[in-house]
Amino acid sequence: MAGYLLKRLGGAVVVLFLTALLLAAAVHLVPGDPARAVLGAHATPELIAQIRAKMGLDKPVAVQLWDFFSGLLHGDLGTDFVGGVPVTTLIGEALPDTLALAVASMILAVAGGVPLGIAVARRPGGILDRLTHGLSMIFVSAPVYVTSLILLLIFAVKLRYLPAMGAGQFSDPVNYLSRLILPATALALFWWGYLPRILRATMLEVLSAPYIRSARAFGFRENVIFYRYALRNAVLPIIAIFGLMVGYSLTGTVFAETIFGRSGLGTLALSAIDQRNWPVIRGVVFTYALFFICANILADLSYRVLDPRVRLSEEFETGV
Amino acid sequence: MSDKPLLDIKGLDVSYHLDGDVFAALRDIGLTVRPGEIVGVVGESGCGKSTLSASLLRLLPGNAEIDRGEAWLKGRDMLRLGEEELRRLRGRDIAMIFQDPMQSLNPTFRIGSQMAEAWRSHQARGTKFTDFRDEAVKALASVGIPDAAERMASHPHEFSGGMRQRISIATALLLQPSILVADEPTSALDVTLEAQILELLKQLREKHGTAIVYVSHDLGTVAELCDRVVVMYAGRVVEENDAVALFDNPAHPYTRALVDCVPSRTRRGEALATIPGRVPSLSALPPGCKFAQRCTMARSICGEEEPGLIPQAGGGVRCHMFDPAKAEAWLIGGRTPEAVAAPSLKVTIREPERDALIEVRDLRKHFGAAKGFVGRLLSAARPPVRAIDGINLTIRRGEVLGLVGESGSGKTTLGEVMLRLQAATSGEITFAGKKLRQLPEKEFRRRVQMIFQDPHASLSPRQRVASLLTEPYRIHGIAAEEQQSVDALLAMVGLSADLAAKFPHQLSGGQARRVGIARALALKPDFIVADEPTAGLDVSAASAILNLMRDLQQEFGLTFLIITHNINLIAYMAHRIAVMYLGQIVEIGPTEAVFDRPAHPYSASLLSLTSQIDTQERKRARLLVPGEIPSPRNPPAGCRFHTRCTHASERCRSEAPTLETAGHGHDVACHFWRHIDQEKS
Repeated sequence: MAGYLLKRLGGAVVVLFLTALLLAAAVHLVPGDPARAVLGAHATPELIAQIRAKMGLDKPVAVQLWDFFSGLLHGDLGTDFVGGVPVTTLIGEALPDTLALAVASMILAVAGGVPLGIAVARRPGGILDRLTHGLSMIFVSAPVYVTSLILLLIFAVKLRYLPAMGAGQFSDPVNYLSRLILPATALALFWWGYLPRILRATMLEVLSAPYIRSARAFGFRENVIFYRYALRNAVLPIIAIFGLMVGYSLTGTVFAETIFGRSGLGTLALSAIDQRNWPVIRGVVFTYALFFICANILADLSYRVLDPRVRLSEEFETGV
Repeated sequence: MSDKPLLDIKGLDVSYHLDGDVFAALRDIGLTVRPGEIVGVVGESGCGKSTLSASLLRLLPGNAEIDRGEAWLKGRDMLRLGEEELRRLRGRDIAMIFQDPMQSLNPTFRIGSQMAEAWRSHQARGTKFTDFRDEAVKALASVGIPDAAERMASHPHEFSGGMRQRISIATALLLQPSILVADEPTSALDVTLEAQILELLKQLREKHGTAIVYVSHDLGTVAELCDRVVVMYAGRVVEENDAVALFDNPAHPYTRALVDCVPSRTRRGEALATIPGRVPSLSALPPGCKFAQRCTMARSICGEEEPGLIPQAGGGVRCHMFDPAKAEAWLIGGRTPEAVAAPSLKVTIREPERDALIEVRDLRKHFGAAKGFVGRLLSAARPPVRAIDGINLTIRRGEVLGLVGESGSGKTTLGEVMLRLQAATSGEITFAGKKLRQLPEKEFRRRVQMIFQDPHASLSPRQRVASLLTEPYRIHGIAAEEQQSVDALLAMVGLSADLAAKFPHQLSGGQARRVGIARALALKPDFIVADEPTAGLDVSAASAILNLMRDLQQEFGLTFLIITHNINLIAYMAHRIAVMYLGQIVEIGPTEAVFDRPAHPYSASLLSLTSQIDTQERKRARLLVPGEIPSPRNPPAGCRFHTRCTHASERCRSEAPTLETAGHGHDVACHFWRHIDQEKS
């Protein structure tokens, strides 16, 4: 197990390095000059050169890269071109709101999708099955910005049940939570369409497995077979997609934050892109990548804990 | 044994509904099981054996429907019980173990927890759980799980297939059902493990008086284990009788044909019987007797009227021939058909030539063997798998050599390395007088062929049969005038020409295997390795393949290496037999000599454990091999068999025996074969 963890962490470091490299390269590939973006269209060439030097853009690419990586090792993501604030401070301010949204959306996704999947698998071909089959198509194919807008129009504008804009303050938890509901739901809708279908399929597959028939032949209670015996095996593939789920939620937050006027990493990234504010973009994307990789490692680890066979096959990898 | 039946099935009809079609899976089934009795159910695949066994617990899939019938168990009709009442019956009164022990345990739960769940399912709520542990450990220990108390915490994948089947039996033991249904419980296991499981089932009956319904396609194990046998065909019971009477004196033409299909040593020199055609589709059954189309004895009445089960001494037969009112149609010159049984067709097995076709010297194949200095350093803690470890073997031109041994003995690897499908780690192969290294690969490939174990998987699913058969010609650039036509190739393996346009998935297992053989024969090879040529085939399809291989050997003088678990097959048609254990040959010699006087304790056990239909053979002593084959990664020191050998001494633990001669062309690797031989006589 320790060896496996080490291997995965090593892999993660490589992926992060490549991400950083790609980001650094992007500065030189994407059109638009940060200095011009900051100073506006009428800036004099001298002023631009001065600002570029301040930003470190006049140095050779290799040196810029070196600066970035050596900073990274010290936990320094550079300084904001525009405000002169350390990028880590900006991210630190924006991160809680984004994490709250991502986590809330995933909790909603699982809390809604898994029970629905179980209920559907309980009676395949039943009313609920047919109903969710149709709805899931809509949920899966509707992009976040569409669902966000629709939810916003119905529940905030028309019915006025929930606040429309802003993220609120942690100091007022009820208000904060009420502001989370709509964007988190918008992000969870996809999973309410997707999870029940996956769970239904894996559940039906597991229920037709020989060991389920064996359990029946020994007179196991149906509830034990369904909720204990089959469910644990059927949930395993769901855990494998947890990593994807984190990725989807994080990218989704960019849309949801923009539409619901929330502060967070997404809005931070968006404004940074407008300004060609490279250090901020780099920092934000790097943070996204970090979360995505951690989530995937976590998913794989929990998979190994829950499925004893995976541990074994790992042992055999080097053997026969 | 009380005469009152424990389980009494009457007039059971079961149908499957699939895409609007109705499949008559079972019709008019009658089956009684008395306390402590072992009843065998046999028949080809598609005859309803598994449907019947599942019906006994009412464990049928969702698209099955019980149309009619009664199933009395302990005074209650199971077919009329509610789900909860039925659940209480399952496990406690009638339990079932299944074919695939690798999949019949839940992979994510510890075995102790699975057994506990079975136990809990039949306890009143609030029963003390402490009793369970003791009983479970006792049950596991009694089925031969070592360190039972600790192993309760292990997951299924930590056990071998044989061990898992034992765990299933232990779970049944825990619940003490009066009937255990065993659906092909040993089909996935080696002969040594099969014998251990059959022994366990016998003990279950001896110690606990459990009645057993044993379902199998393997007539041999049924003959060895069962008191009474039911033969099924197309969803009907066609014959029922005491096991001895049924196998010694089969009445129904189908039973007779089945028994005559099975190869054995006593059948050497005879052609095996075959049953033409296939089991009819259950959705379009012919009127009259369902076997009539394949029956050599059929008369016009058979196609018109379906026979009932005609009572006979000890059982019954579903055949008009045994109906006194109709028997007239079968009288030949005033004699009954049994009296004029056709003499079996004599065949010869062509003797091999003098010269060696293929020779291997000190051949080794180690998997995961470290390469270079760094590799050796890294793998210091992890020795390679010694799949084959020092094999010397000569096969003469025209010879049929049978290679037997348990799974993990290295049989298949040896075959593949000899054909250069895998590179040898060390050693030398000489083919037709030339070192393999000096022989151009293409030429070698043309002259040797393999018949693969899984016929369907070894044929490309996107090519038609005709294209598959001519592919060898395209690969080797054979001139058109030297090619055999597709029709000729198909005819050679006894297939009709209209199969040429079919895809592999449209073929039956037997047909696919024949296509595989025809493909191997297209290039007129000198040497063929046949890996389990009859595995997965019904007895009638298997006998047809064996007849074909034997004919080919006779006609073209083909050289065969037959790799198989099925020792009866070797006894039937091989010139010589080689027995492998953990990568080494422990005994090799002429078939007759080895079967008469097996010198190595391992071969002696394998031969004695091979199940036999023949009544005389069934009386032989069975030499059980304890335990399981060790890992070829860490083979035992000294004689590799010493850990399982009842004759092992101090010398066997330290000194590895080498092959020494035990008779004309008969070699054995055992320190004490002389001593053991004397003990026997």
